[in-house]
Amino acid sequence: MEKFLVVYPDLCTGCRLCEAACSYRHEGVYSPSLSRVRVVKFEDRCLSVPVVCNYCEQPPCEASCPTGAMSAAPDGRYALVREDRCIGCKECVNVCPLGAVRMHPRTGVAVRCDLCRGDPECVKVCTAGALRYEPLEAAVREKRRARAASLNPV
Amino acid sequence: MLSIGVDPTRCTRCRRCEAVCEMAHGGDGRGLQSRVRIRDSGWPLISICRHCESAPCADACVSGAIRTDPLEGTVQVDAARCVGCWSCVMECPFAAVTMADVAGRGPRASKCDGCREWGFPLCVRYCPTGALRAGAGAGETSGRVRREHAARLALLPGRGTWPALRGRAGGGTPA
Amino acid sequence: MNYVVVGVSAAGLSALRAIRELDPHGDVTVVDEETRPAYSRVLLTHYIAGRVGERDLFLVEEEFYRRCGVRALLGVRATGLDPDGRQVHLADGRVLGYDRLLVATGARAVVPAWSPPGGAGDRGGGGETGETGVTGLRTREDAVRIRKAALAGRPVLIVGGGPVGVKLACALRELGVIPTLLVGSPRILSQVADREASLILERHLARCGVRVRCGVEVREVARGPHGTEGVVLSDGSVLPGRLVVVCKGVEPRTELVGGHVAVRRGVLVSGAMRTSVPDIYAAGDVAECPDIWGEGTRVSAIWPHASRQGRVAGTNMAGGRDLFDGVLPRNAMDVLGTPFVSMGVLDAPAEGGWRSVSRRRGDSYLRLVIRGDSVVGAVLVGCVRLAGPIQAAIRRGGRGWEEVVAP
Repeated sequence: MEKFLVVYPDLCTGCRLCEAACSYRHEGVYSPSLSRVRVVKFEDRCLSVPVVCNYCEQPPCEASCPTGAMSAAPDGRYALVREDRCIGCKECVNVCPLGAVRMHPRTGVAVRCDLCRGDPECVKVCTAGALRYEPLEAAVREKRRARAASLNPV
Repeated sequence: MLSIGVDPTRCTRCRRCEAVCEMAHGGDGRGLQSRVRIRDSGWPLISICRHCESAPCADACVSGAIRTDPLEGTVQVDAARCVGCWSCVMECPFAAVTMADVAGRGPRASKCDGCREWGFPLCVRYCPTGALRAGAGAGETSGRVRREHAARLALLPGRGTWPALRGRAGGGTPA
Repeated sequence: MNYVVVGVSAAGLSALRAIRELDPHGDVTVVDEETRPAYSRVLLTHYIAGRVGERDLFLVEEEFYRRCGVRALLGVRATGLDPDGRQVHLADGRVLGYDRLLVATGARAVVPAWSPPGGAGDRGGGGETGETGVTGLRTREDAVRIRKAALAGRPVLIVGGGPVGVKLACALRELGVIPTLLVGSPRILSQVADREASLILERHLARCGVRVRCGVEVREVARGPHGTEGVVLSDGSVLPGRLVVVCKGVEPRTELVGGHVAVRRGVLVSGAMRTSVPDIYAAGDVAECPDIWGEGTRVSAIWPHASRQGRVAGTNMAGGRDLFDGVLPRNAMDVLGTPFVSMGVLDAPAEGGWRSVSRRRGDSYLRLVIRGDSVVGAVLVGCVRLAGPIQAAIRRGGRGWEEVVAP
């Protein structure tokens, strides 16, 4: 079954381990600013929310890319940025409704989550379980159960 | 690093940007000096320079007239060096480089300069619908959007229905 | 790391910059036949027209190599290669060892059989116009010679109706000279334009006062007591002219690596600009690269490809990772006020799902070549505003062109 990177914002503790793992996997350094997944913190409410590419079915970043640099992998299982094609026009950054596409500060090409080519590193380090790589049906089932439980506390 | 972003879905084709740009760059109102163009249909709907990080127009320029300003990060044309070979026009995927007549020298490349003289892109300032946007950089744009999105996720009224909230203080009532 | 770059023009120079960016302390040696720093060949016709000065031709100042910490061996030719011993032999007997070698020797002008020796195309061959009256247009000296002759009011014959020939005709016309363009094919720009575009441009040239003769072959150069007096055509007629400029295209200069690495028309390279021999790279006009459709390999003697390929080669040589996305042949030029752009595949075979879409309004002409439902080529004359978006569509795989050309 097709798996998705599902975010459970309420479980996030804001430890930013995902950012460290992501940047190390992709860039070889521990630098949150180079990470594909970013944790947004609302300090006043003690909330942290990981934000990562949602893998839209009709990705605006791909539709708006003039050079075809934003493309899916040949088997369609993860997204790619073809760096040789990217001209750094920032269209993708401007159209992404999640703010999940960013520009690489050094090379000036767009970066977005590629699910570590099907084996996301951030999920492995997320001990809180806020990031999970699971079939969408599993996420929906959990949500359904939680909703039912909240209506009729056991 | 200046970045100009467009949202074609918000554009109502009022062409105010064209008029403002024309005036800002000393045109006579015929639209020959405007560096932003709106089409009625098709792609790209809004032709304006995105100030690409590795700009194809600058790469193709044979005379070194188009360069990226190292301080501002904008892509600028030095009309005095331009020889009018049309290479940049051929390369720009947004049709954002045009040729404008320079008195006595024929057509020379002309493109958005980010309103250097004015300090802020005037087309963006006068766009009534927000179809044109500018930020100090793409990083700022994406950061702002990300925060808005995260806020939607985190502060959702139906937050209590999310699995994780079971048993946690404050969770509970779905809207 | 010890880098050797043979040939510094568009490709060599951008490779140099890429290497220096990644490896500030490596030993870099550049070898070039020209005695002056690299200059822009594309600007030569603009120089003849007087749009840029002789100084503006140079891409870098004299100090550039020293400032980059690069050893520059200028005015010397690389004559031999020993891939096993990793050595390059120079004409003056010196031997350079290398860890990574970039071959960016470029291309030379094609010299037709009738051209007298020492004339067209021989870089460093000492083609004195006083002696032969025949020259190519490839080097700065050629351009200086042509401009001087044109300013002296000597009638100029241009042989070859390709992009260089047409650009030169336009440049001379701008100077006030009336050049004659002799074209072997039935129409001008036959390699880079379709029939309709050729005809529009030909008419435009004629209107502007350029004499165009199509379908004529030159048999020999007519010599008289005062040097060149014109050319003799294959039908025996003589066309008068004091300077003959041969613009019959260019061919890759592969002799340095020939026999050591795989060569077809140019030096065969991968998308990473690697040749068939490890640690030897090639870029620019000398290289033959996969095209963007991955259907074949091509030599593309155009500026944007050369500088991009150079950057890719330099990055990979210095241990980085970069890829050239493939050759998309294209041309842009200004034909005496009428812009012309062409790119990709220009002729649509009658069968196999090919078709073409064209639109014409006055002297403004647009033609798209469609394969299946993907655009693979385009010709634009007059209004070339959409050239960029069309090129982007071709690069994306060809879909969505209807939106690009929507009225």
